[in-house]
Amino acid sequence: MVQQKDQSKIKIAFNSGTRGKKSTFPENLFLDESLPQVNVILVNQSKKNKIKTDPNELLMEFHCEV
Amino acid sequence: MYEASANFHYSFQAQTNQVSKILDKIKLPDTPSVFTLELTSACNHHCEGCGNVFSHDEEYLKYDDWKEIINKIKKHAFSLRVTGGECTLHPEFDLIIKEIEKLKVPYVIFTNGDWMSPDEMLNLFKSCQHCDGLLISLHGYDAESYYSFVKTEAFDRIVANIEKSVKAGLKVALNTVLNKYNYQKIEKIVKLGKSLGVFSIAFSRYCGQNLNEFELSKQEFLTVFHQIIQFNKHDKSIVFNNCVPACFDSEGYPTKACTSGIIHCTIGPDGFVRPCTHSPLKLGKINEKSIEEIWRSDGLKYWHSLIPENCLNCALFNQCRGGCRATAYHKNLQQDPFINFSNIKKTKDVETQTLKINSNARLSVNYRIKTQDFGYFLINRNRHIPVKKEAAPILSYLNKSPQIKDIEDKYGKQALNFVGTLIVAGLVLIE
Repeated sequence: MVQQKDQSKIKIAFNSGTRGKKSTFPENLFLDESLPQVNVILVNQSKKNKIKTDPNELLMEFHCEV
Repeated sequence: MYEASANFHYSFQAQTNQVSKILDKIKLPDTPSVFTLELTSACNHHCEGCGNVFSHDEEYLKYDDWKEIINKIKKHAFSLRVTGGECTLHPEFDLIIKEIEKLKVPYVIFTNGDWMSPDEMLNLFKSCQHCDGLLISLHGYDAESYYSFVKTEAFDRIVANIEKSVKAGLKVALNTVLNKYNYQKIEKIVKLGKSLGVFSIAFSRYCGQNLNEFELSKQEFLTVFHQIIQFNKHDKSIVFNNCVPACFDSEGYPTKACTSGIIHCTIGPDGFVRPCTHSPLKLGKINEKSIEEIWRSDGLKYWHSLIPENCLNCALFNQCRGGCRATAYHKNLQQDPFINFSNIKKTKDVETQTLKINSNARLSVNYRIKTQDFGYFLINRNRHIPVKKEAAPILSYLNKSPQIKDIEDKYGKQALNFVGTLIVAGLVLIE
C-alpha cells in the first residue's frame, strides 16, 4: 500500500561540456536559506553507512494538515 | 463561505511591495502540487471545534464532477489528501478513490474512523496501491473525553476500527485536537496510540472561532506544546500537526511552515479552490478557471498579503511563514494570536552537520522534479525544496544512481554538500 520511493521521471536538459573535469557551482544551490548546512566527508570503509533516512518521517509529515 | 472578490476589501496597490517581498522569500510555484479534496460536507460527528468552514448540509459534487476535477489536476498533483466532512460518507466514495488511484501519486485519507461497514471500508483501503495510509481523528483518551469534544458516542467503535486497520496492515496516524478535556492527559493518548500500534500520533492546535469552553489559553497551550516537543525528542512518531509561529515563545520552536496558498490548496465540496482547509477564502471555481489562473489570482495575493510584514525580518521565516492566517481570520484578528514579535529572531544559529559517508555508497533519487522559472522544486509529498537552475547537471547525474564519490569527482565539494543536504532531507537515499 505504501509507496516509499518516487523516482523522477522528468529529464532535465543541460549542456554538459565538462566531462572529465570538475564543474564549479555557486556557494549555495538551494533557494531556501532555512535548510541545514551539511558538510560531507567521504570515507573508505567496509562498514555500512550509519546514515539512514527514516522513510516514515516523510509519511508523518504527509499525514498532517499543513 | 466567502469569495475574495465579493467580501474582502483590500487594496493591492498598498500591499504590492509587501506581497512581492513575500513571494520572493517563499518561492511561489506557478501551480500548487499538494491538493486536499473535501469530497463531501456530510459528517456523522458533531465536533465542538470542527475545522470545516462549511456546515454539514450534505452538499457534495457527484462522482462525475470529481472525476473531471481529478483529471484537471492530474498534471499538477504530486500528492493528495482526501477529506470532508467525513469523506467515506460520499455515496460514491469507492469510485472516487479508484479515480484518485489512477493519478499514481501518494495520498492520505483523513477520516473520523466511524464507518458504516468497517470490513467493506478496510477492503477498499487495502486495495489502494498509492494510499500512504489513514489519518484518524481521536480527540480523547477515553469515552468521556472523546464525547466532550466530538459530541458523539463513538469512542469504542473508533478504537476498534483503528485496531482493525492496523491489523489489516494499513498505516494509521492519529490526530488529536488539543482542548481543555484532553490537554492534561496527552500521555494517555500516546499510550493508547502505542497500544493500538499506530505509526504516528499527531496533536493539533484548534483553528476556528473563539470557543472559550474548550479552547486552551496561551499558557495552557504553551505547557502542552512543550510537553509534545519533549515527547518528540524521544520518539519521532509523536508530532505536532499544524503550524505554531516560531516566535510563540522565546525558545523559538518552529513547528511546520504553513504551506497553504504556496504549494497547497483545498478543493471544497462545492468545487471552489481555497488556499487552506481552514480558510473560507474562495479563489475561484475549479471548473471555471485554470489552476494557473487561480494561482495568479488577486485572492491568492490577498492571502499572501496577510502574512505580517514584521515576519519578513525574522530569520526563521521560511520555517514558519507567519503563523496561521486562518486562525487570525476566525478570531477577527490581524495576525495569528500566538505571534509574539518580541521573540522574533534576527539571526539564525547556523549549525553545520557533518556526514561521513562511504565513498562507494550508491545514491538514488527519492523526489520528483517540478520545473519553474527560478529553478526546480524537488518534491516528495510535503517536502518541497527549491533549488537553483545551476543544479541541473547534478540532478540529471543523480538519475543515473551514481556512487557518491563520482559526485565529488565530477562536480566538486559544493555539489557533494548539496547532495548531503538532500540526503538529510530524505530526498536522496544512500545504500
